[in-house]
Amino acid sequence: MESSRKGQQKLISIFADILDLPEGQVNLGLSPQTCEKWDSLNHIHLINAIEEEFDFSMGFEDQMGMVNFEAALEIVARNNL
Amino acid sequence: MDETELQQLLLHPDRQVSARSALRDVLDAAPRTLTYKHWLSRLPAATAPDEQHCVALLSSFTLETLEPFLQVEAYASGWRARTTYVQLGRWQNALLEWPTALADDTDVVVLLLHDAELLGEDFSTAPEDALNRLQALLQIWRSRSAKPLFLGVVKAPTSPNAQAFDVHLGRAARRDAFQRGLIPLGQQLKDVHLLDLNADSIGIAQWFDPRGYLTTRSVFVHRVLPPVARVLARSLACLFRPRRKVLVLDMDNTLWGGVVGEDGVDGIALGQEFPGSAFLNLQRMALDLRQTGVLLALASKNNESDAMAVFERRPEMLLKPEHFSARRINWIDKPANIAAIAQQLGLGLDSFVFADDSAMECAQVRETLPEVEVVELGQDPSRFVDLILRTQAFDTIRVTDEDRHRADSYAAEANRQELRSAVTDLASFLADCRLHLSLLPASGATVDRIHQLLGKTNQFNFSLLRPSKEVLLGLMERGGCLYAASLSDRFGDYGLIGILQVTQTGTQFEIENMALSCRALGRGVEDAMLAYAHSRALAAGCTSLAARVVRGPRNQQVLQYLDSKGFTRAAEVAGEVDFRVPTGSGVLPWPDFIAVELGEAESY
Repeated sequence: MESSRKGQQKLISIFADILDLPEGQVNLGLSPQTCEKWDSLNHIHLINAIEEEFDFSMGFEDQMGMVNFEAALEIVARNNL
Repeated sequence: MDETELQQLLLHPDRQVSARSALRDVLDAAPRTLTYKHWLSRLPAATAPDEQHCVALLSSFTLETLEPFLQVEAYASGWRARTTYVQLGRWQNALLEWPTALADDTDVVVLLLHDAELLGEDFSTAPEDALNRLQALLQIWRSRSAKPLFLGVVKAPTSPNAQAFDVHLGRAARRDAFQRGLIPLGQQLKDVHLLDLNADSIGIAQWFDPRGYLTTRSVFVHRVLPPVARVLARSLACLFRPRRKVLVLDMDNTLWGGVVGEDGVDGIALGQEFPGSAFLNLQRMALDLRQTGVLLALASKNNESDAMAVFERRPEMLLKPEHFSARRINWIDKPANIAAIAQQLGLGLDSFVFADDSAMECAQVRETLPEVEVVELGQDPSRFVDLILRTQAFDTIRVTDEDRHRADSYAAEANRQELRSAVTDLASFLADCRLHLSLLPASGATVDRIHQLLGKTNQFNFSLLRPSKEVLLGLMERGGCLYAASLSDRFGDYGLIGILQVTQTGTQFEIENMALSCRALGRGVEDAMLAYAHSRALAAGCTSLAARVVRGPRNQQVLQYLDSKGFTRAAEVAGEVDFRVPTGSGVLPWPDFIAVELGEAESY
């Protein structure tokens, strides 16, 4: 439980840094539709940063399926936490 | 250094040298996407307009992912990037259709190609054909643009497991031949520089991203984006910021292991065995730098006789006393000694790098002389060479003849100074120097040097314009307006030290620009250049000679000089002073102690 909370916090700070947002604005519904800065280029940077910080390689399905912050949490939990 | 300290340092305009160095440490400790994105948003806003440079990146693969890395690395290399990306199928069109909308404010073009783009996805094209095609494209582009171009061709493996097939099917040989052919191709085209982006220099064998290549046409795995960006930012930085000119070295525990005053000349570490071998390595690097135009100097707390005895009695020393353009071996503090060396060499402190093993000495110099790039060598001599080179301070993309001879010409200057103190009046000193000035129409061969000269001359400079090479080549083609001044004397060759740009409108002859390196000031060269402009004005039947001077922070001496030569200030508008002198006999005479060689069958 403790480690999953830590992982969640880490993911929030990754999203905040890559999308240049205050951490408070990173919520489950955050997505390319709600956040202008989440464009295709930053999508790649998000994938790269998640792979680097959580040390796993994201499959193509997951890369395409990471449609919002909630999906990213689920992907990280399945691969890492 | 913690995050808050670095953040404060980044915003401190006077501490940018330290800020860049500290940022590089942070990036190297965690070269990851997050680190770069994190610091990208914390960089200070680019304020000076000449700090920002526009880079057009043309590539055969997706490159936009490089953007945050390039921005941060450019800052760490001392410049700011404004980027435009042209990629995938469009790079050839962009070259062939030049000048495009891009061209206007582009300072430099970067062309990055995957070798499959030219050799074919199955690498079946003959390497000569691929090279010829690339050369033809670049020649067409070069005929339309004089911008510098950096070319990098990546040689991605088809698959880490396909190596045997690649060898058997002749692919490996074709790809190697293509890479080798790029070197002469780069040399044949003017101002085209090769970037080495392949695995050996990037240092990661597994850098190709097959998934990325097949899905989004990106070539590099994200782990190598930081080193790729660094190679790019470092190489381009050579165009945008001046190279530092002087390396000041400490002696004890820097040039050799141990303290000569305590361990004695025979007790210090120097030789083939570690750690002596590491100190020789540092000496070898210093000599290499000297050969490319970097001046060496010594600043050491020692008894001078103890320290100099090492040169005499230790034959292993690769560095000799004559390799140093200045030395301060005494018990005065290092900042004072470095400032004295700067004064002796006539160079600004922002041209200096100081390397010392002592954290205390380094801190003192950093604090007192913030323009100096300080390298704290620490205790491990095997890292010394790397620590000095990673400052990027001595990076260069080309070494000119001036650079190769600079260290020797400073030695010649020391001899001149000696003569000058022996001879008391200036006229007989100058006569004794046997000065020879050549003032010839500038040609394409000198464009690099003229560009360099106008880029860094701040004191004796009329217009303070920093024209691009394109503009300079245009002036040279027009003929009769841009002249290059080269000087020599009996002590040696100064090389190309000044330019004169003139124009005639009706009955008025005007000096549009004149600039002279401070190394050549006070030797009558400026008088000879004015005399030449005046003689041209007279010959053309013009009744007056005009000169325009733009006031800058450091060129006041030009105004005083023209006043002293009989010019009057006709007008001043927005910091631009219009000087005039009527032409006639006896006005602006030729100095009689300089032999002048002129082009166009002119003589004097």
